[in-house]
Amino acid sequence: MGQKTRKYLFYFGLLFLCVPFLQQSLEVVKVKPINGFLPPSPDATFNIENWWNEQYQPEKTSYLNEHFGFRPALLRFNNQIDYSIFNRVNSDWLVLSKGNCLFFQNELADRAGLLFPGEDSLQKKMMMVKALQDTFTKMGKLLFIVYAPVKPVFYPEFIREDSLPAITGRTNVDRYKRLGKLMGINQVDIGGWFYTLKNTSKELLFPKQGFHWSMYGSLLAEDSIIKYIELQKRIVMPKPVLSNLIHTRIPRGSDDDARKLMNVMAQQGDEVYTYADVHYPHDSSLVKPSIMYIGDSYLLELLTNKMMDSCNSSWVIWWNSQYISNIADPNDKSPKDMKTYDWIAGTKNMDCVVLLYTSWDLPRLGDGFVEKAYSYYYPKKD
Amino acid sequence: MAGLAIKYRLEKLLYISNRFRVIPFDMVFSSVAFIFYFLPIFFLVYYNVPARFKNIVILTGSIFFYAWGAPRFVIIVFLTTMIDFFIVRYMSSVAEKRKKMLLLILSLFINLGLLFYFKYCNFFVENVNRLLASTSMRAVSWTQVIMPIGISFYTFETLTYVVDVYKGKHQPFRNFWDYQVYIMLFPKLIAGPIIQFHDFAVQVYDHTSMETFENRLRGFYRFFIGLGKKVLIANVMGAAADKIFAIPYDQLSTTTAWYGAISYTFQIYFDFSGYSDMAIGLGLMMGFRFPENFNNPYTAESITDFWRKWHITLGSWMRNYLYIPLGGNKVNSKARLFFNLWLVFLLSGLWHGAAWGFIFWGAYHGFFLIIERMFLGKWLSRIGKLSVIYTFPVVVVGWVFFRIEYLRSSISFLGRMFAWHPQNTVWEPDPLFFTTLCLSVFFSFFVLFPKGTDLQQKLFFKEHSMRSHYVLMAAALAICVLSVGRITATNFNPFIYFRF
Repeated sequence: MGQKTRKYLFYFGLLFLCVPFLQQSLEVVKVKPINGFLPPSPDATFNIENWWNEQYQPEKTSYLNEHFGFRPALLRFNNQIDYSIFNRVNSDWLVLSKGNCLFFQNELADRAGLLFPGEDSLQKKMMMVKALQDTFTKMGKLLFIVYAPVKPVFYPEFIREDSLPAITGRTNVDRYKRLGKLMGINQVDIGGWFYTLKNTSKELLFPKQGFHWSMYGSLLAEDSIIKYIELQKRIVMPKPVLSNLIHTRIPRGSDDDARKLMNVMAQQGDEVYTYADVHYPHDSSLVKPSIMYIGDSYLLELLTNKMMDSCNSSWVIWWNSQYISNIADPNDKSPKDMKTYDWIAGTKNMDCVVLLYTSWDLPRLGDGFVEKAYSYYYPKKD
Repeated sequence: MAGLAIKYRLEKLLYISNRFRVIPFDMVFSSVAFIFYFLPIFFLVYYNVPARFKNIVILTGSIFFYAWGAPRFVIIVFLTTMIDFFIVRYMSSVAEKRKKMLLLILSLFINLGLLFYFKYCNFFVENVNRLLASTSMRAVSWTQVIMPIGISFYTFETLTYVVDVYKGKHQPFRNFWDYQVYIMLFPKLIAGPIIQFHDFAVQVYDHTSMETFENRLRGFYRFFIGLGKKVLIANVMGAAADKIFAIPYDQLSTTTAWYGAISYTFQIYFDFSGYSDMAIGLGLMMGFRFPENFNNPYTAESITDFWRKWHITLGSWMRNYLYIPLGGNKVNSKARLFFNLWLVFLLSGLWHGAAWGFIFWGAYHGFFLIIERMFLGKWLSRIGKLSVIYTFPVVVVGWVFFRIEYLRSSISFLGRMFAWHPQNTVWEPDPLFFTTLCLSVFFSFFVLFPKGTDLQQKLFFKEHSMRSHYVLMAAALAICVLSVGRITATNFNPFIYFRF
């Protein structure tokens, strides 16, 4: 009897080890995938040459490591233990701070002044932006910079002393804004405005567990951008109208995108998010300019709010992240490469060019557009 | 996007290749590929074939295992073992002593020659070139050689084969494939334990009769205990040690330097003993009885005692195949005895790696062995278990040389440990580190108490009741889940000792 029980117990253990392989092959249980940016490894193709040259084995091993059954569940379980018991986050990008606030590594580095590209680079870039602004103004086009809020500046009370690098200088946005003001560059400081609203706003403007402004905050930002364009172009544009405001502890969309990157099973949140129905009035007397948007992921919030579709007669977004280089044009869905895109034709019918960046992304202001446009309008004399 | 993932992976492989000059091995025991693919498939096949085919399955699995990481070197292992096998077979058939001796020397020359070439030539040429440079002579041009994984381990086993047959301790294997099973047996192939031929010879033939379900279960638990030691303890300690040792030494506070040394001390123990546990467990699941490789070495009451408890199979090999042939304890003079001891430890250090740090580490241990023989041992025996207070710090300091590998840097680091430098913020421990450190201390020293020794005996060496089996199986699977979760989150965890 004892021998039989030992036999069943042993085979139970061995079978347990087969479960991930069976799940991978048969997908019996639906498991939520992991959130994150790193592209998965492709499966390796076996041939004798690849195997002999040791190319097949590491590729196959990477593939198995990332695709075995229940991997997301095991990862979340591990991360949950690390988070709940050891108060740590298993992500190279995130820093868990006081009050359950999550910062992006780059945000803290920017807060410490470590991501400043240098005075030369700053002056050169802003000089080009100013020259372009002047040229576009002569052509009847508006160019301006929008500065998104900086989370460590918005939430200084949550920064852990040991997470902020020793050097504490000025953020990029401080430097760019200051020089922009001196040079007369068009700029909208949404971040600065958000800091003034922080203690008076009843609605959440910047979630502790998100990388970007909240959905409500993005609507305020959108409203500001529209009003700025109206002021500069002397037009009246459609603006978002909010109704049915709800307050909830359950985040939606990208309001907890930082938390999602933690890949944990459950996490307590103490914030109240605001969501609303958004509509844009249909009024033929309202003017919808054509706008080229160039920026970082803060643009995506505006796209989600349908600002582009509702307030612009046509639009193009340039978005260049670490992994995706894309130009989104609703009228032309063919793939476009930023390096080869005919931006001259793209700007021809545009009324506005909006450069929207957060502080640590400012060194790449324009994502190549500024340099290309400047060398076109101001070619170097031989 | 796929290119990025491959680039990321290749960068890590390049880092490991450059750091250790070995081929990165993708099928370590603490990998997903091994735990969820190789292990279940291998054992499901193994347990379902008739007994007469089991060695074939073992050999096939072992070749697959090694070829996964180093397909080219399988050929080298195969060819050298083939040459060895036939030399030894011929040697055992020859009656003339002189001819036997010549064949022995030939086999030793081939085995040690290959070990020297793959493992020590780079170091040798580096030092020759350094010497030539100091005399403004032209350097010797040399292409760096990459070392096959596990060469130190299986070379020592082939040496035991030829010496045991030469001395008549055991007859050689009947056929070549049995010898291959002995050498290439995958649980011990890349990082030991070093199994002497006379301890293993019979097992090649009788292991199937030892494959009781009790043994299979005990092997299963032992494997996962080892996995937990490696992933849940060694890797955490290793991450801390890596961070601290990467800080410029002039920025280290005394406390941080000690954290680094102690982290490494526990990393290397749990890494290597964890691996040994996994090897022993896998062997037991096939009915093999591997010798124990560790016996709570940090509870040793002297350095002499430490070497009876640390890497026991290496110590045993050194004693049987080097120290005793040099005369052992039966030499005429104490000076000769001390010289032999010191030489054995110097070579033990050199066995670990081709760097002056390893050699110095071996000489350092040899020095303490000698002074214990001279007078210190008697004093330590008077204070019994309290002498851990002497042994443990001596061992910790020795690990600094081992970790850093370069003498001058090791001395700089030790300087930060032993001269006071106030605490700063270059590195600060976190709750995970402290928890793991406490676990490390507990599991390293719990056998100092009688209950601890009893528990260890019951866990590893006694038959279990069914109730114990249920508890142990649950614990093993829990460790599996926790460890794989950890592996998945930190997807790169090579063993330390496989580079030797």
